Amino acid sequence: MILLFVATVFVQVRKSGPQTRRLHALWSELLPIALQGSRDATSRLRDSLRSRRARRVFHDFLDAELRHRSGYSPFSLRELSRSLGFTAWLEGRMRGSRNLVERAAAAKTLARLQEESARSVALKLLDSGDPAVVLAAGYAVAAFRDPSYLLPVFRAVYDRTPLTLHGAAELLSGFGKESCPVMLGLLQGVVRRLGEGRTSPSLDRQREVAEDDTAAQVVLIDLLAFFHYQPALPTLLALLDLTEDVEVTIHLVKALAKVGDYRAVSKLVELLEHSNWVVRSQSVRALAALGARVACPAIRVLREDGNLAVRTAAEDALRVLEVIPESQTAARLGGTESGPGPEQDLVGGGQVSHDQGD
Amino acid sequence: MRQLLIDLNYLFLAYFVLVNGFYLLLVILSSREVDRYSRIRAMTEHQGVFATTFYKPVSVIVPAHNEEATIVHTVSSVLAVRYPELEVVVVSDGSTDGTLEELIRAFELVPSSRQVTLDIPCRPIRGLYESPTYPSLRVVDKEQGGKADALNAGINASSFPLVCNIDADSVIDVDSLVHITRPFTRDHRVVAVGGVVMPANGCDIENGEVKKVRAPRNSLARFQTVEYLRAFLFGRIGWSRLNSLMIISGAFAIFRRTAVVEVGGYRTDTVGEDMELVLRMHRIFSDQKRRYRVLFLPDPICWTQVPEDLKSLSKQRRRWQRGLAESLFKNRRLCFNPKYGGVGLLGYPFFVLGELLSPVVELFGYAVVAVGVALNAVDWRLGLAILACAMFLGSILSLSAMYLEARSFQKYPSVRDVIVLSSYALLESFGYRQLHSLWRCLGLVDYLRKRESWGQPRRMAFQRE
Repeated sequence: MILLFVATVFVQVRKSGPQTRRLHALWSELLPIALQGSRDATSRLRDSLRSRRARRVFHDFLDAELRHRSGYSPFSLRELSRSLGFTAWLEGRMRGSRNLVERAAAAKTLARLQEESARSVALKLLDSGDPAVVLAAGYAVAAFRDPSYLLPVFRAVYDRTPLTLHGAAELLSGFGKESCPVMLGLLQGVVRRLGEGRTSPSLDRQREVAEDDTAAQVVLIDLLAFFHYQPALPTLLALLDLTEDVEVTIHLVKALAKVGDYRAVSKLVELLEHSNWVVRSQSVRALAALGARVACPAIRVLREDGNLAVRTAAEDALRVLEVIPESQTAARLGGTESGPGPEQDLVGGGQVSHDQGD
Repeated sequence: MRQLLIDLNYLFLAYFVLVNGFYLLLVILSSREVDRYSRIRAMTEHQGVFATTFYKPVSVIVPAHNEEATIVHTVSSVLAVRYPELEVVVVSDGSTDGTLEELIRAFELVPSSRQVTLDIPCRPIRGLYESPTYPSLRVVDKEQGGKADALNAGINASSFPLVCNIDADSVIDVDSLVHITRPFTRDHRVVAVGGVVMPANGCDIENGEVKKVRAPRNSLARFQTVEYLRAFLFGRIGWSRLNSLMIISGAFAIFRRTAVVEVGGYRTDTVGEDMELVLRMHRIFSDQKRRYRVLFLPDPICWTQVPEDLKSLSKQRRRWQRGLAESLFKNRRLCFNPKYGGVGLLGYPFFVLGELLSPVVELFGYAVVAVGVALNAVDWRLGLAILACAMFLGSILSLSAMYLEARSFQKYPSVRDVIVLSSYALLESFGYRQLHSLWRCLGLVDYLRKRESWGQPRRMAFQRE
């Protein structure tokens, strides 16, 4: 009992104790100065990293800095990390640690520092059976922004870890906007096969997305919307025409609102009569986000909808749309309207649940 | 007589070793699960940018009966929760104090003409209120029917696919809903998920949000903090790992609405409506040979006020024990029935043996040891060993929970608080535990006498420091 008591207090002191806080405070102060080239700050940083424990804490600190993209360039952090000897320590950990999670965590940080040595290790760790290792490896591979690994990373993290779709989408967003053409190509493959009415049971899951692969489709749709990738609009509209998957439909509706293109309005108005209430309510929200005043008559009908959430969405949308001047709507009908930045969220909306239909 | 006393002493010892041995097994299972969970959580980097896209809308139901002291804080806390699409349904269950008036004043409520569809039977609804300032808030005023009936009314008035129940004296962490709804977005089999409930006493709460987590200052509340940590951190995680979770706290639980409606909602003839609902779900869904899952997650947190005086605490514990007895009795078909898998073969029998009967065995055991030693029928060293085993195994379990908490979630950031709570984990075997067993025995007596009183705990307004 006494042993347990002491162990509890020891763990608490170690995890949240003053030493960790002191180190964090010191590094927060020294890092920006060292990055500006101060030799004194670099030397003080080096001194603070003498103990093994301090290096472990610094690992977490540096990873958080890289993760939150706190304004420092990964390349200048890479140079600093090399000059501190920290990169060498991380590489030793990545290759020599017996703990796979530690190896993967080191690979992740090195990948974020754009150290090429981490690439092959991360790809190898992606096949691990440990969910924590797969996750760290997934973030590491994404950090290299090679879109050819986009689908394999998604398969690994979604199939072998408890990550939700939103977690997976966040991880894949690490591949950057440059990967949008690859994502679009994957969705175009789905549209092509759906259009030809062809099923492909022997599809290569690491290279293609199947017609019935809801998770992969919704993630790709959301990523394209997140990056406001305008060239995706024709494919999104085509998929909306062809898909019978309610979940995919809902994400397409939300993506159309987010891409912010007025050409989607007529299709969205059609969806106001969809049998699923989530599709109806999301279409109403999307029309409101697009400022489609032309949809007001159709939305008014939904004020009498059997579902409370649809009625509420319709009332909210009408409050927004009825104050938009006609002239503005007419101008928008002529062409595209650029959407908001990625940091803004135009619409809320629910992932569909098949047990909540009308 | 002498032989009987000796046999009873050994029986008492065997019972404690068996029950606590099983609890130790749960500790091991939970430690592994918490480790795995923490490692994955440490590696997961949620920035929240996609959180608004992949989620299921949630209706939060807050049943309230005479909760004027805390209701505004609770509702404010729920409204402050970070969740993309949320409605809050407060049900005033025939409140005779100023609960409804407080709500009307604080949230500028106006009567609504909307009709509520009765998917589950409940007592008549007197009125529905909405707020132009807070469009996601709805207040149902109904005739008194008890907490279960209020929850049923709230479910009827809710429109979203997930329903989350929160007690009116509780506040939830801002990210709790995002965490607790996660299993529903990944697994269509999930019908219910429970989260951790912790005492809010001592914490700094401002505008319905926990700003600083601190251990309670009141001794009774400190003992309860240790108890809550033990119950949630390894009890429920362990049961969830064994796929035999039988109870999800009514203070913070989330259900698939269709599943609750399908099994007929909460039963109004029991005071353990939360446990009874989960047991009934196990029974009905297993009968239907449906694939379903009931889960527990260790990181969504709900903070609740725990009683700080003996009278309120004794009432609460008696009620809980009566609720346990009622729930187990109403679903007795589960017992040792292989059709119900882990719940029938493991969970149910253990709850009868280790939870329902434990206070009786414990108090009876203390008496038998004392009589045995007094009559020289039992060697005093054996008696002492039995008592030590009975008392300290419980403390070891509580300390294990404290250790697990410090190693994984660190909800209590202060080292001082952890020392204080760990000391209370050691001290609880000397008096508190025995008193607790006595209350639970009285709860069983209440059940046998079919005493119906709910009792109204004394509520204090949340602290604002």
